[in-house]
Amino acid sequence: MTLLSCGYMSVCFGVASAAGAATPETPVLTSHLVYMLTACLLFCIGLFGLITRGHLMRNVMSLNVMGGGVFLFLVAVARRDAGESGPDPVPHAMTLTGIVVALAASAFALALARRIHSITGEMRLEPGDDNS
Amino acid sequence: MIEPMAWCILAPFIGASLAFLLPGRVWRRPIAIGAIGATLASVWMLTSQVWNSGAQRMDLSGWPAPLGIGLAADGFSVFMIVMTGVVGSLIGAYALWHYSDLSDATEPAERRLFWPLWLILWGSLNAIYLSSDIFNIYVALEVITLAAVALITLSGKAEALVAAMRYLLAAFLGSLSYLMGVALLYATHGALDLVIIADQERAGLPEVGAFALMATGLALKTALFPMHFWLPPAHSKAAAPVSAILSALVVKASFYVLLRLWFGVFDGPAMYAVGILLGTLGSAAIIWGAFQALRQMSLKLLIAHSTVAQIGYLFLIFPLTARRPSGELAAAGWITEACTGVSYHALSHALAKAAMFLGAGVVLHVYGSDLLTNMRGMSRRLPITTFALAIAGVSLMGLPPSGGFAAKWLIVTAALGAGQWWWVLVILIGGLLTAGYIFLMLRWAFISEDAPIQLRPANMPIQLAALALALLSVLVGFRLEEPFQLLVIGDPFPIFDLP
Repeated sequence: MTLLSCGYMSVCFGVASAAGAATPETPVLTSHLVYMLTACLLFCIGLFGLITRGHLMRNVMSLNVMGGGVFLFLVAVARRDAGESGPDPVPHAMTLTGIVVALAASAFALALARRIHSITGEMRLEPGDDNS
Repeated sequence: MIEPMAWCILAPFIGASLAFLLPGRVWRRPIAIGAIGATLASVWMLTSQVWNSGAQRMDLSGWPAPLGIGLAADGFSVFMIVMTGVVGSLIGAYALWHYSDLSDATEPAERRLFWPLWLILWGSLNAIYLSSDIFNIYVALEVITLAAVALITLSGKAEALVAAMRYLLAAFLGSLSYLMGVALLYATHGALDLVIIADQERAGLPEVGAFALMATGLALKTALFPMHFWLPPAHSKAAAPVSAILSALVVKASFYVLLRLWFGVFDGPAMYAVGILLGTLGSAAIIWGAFQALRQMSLKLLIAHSTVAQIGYLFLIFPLTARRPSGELAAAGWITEACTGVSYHALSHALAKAAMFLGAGVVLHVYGSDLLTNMRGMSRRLPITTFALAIAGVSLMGLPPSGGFAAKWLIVTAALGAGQWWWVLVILIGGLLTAGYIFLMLRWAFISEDAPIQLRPANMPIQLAALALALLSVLVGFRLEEPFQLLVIGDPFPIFDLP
């Protein structure tokens, strides 16, 4: 699992740099590249949290951190492709839709976690897993 | 004007809203039957439209592709939609009884909520098969996940809730990984429509990264080995119709998206290694899933592990359609066999697996438990269900003349044509192991048991629904011509020419 997340991390970073550098005549570190790298870092932090923690509340929060990473990346792409009439609106629309979807999924996950807690008295999937 | 493409998605959604707004007992049956009928009618119109006049495309609200969302239907989409329609309505027939007042297996809340959730799920499955927009596909994938998880939780038992939660976390992770891939593709191509992206120059590194993220996410949702950990509990703890829907239909949707991306978007020197990797994981799934199925003592867990194994066969399409780094195709001349074989496997598995889960539902209802050791004497007590399980097993094993045989025959032909004989070995070993667990399951049914035990009576409609699915899974092996003609309409499996 740790290997998997390391692999993910390197893929994300490599790709973010490539995507950032894909625009012509850019200096090495532009503002949108900083945002893209931060986005990838958030994505990986969330993934790490999801894999290493067993508490359901933390799992849902980790997924939301990952989602935050994805949305930041989209907004950075919109900024990168900004023309004279302002930033590209399509990634903004995707971000808004994504937030709505993530909100619904998180609400559902929290309701499910509460139900599991009220029935089993545990806030985790494997009982006896004390890594909170 | 009637747009069959839009109605394939709208009809189940309208049915779902009605079923949710009018939860009264009087309304349940007419709404369910009406929604199934309307959806099937739309599917029929779409099929005849595509069959007679070729692939269709439609821009929603008249906005063309870069800005608007496109719907597209070619032979492969229609194939999947027809599969969903046939399997879905037969499962629906079972569910009409299972979630009615005649059944003492369900609570009132379950009966009220099954139809809205299943119809939403059906509509989003059709939306996946018709979408040409990768972000729209993300939304549909997420709706499928939420509806599927909610369906698992319907029974309200603790183990079902835990299985559902694990599935939700895994599928949520898969969606986010896919969405990150969508963001990367948009960053490199500035478009979301599959057709527009496919027409552009391939972009190298960002594209490989996007494919890695999307493929990992989708493989997690399809439960490809070793990311299958969530599937056996989720599929076996749900109620019988829900298990059948999940195993037969839901896992195919994310595989379909992966296949579209593989043929439409990604190409390049790295793809051969990726194809071999996916094929190897698929082979590992075939062996591991079948081996695990052999070790199960409960019928539903056995069938769920069998799903893990059967999903592996689907992934053999990737090495067979990959392009070697030198530029030539690994299986030039055999691409059609590989693609039709894998699509046919998806179809025959959907029919056979739905039949087995519905059969297991009958067993669970009559015997009160699905332990294999409790199934003694079943061949005399439940002859129809035993027959359905056996026939579905024949198709899963790939014995001629079943649908499973036709599919495996085509895949084997393509693998031999490509000179990749090792996949044939895997298919043969997998077939033997499948035969092993099917016979292990049937063995208990044929052991005679005269000790009187308390049994609930089985009613005929649910047994017939399972039997119809099982018979169909064999019958599709007899008539291959029309499905194959349908599958190549609109060239859904294009192979790029490298620049």
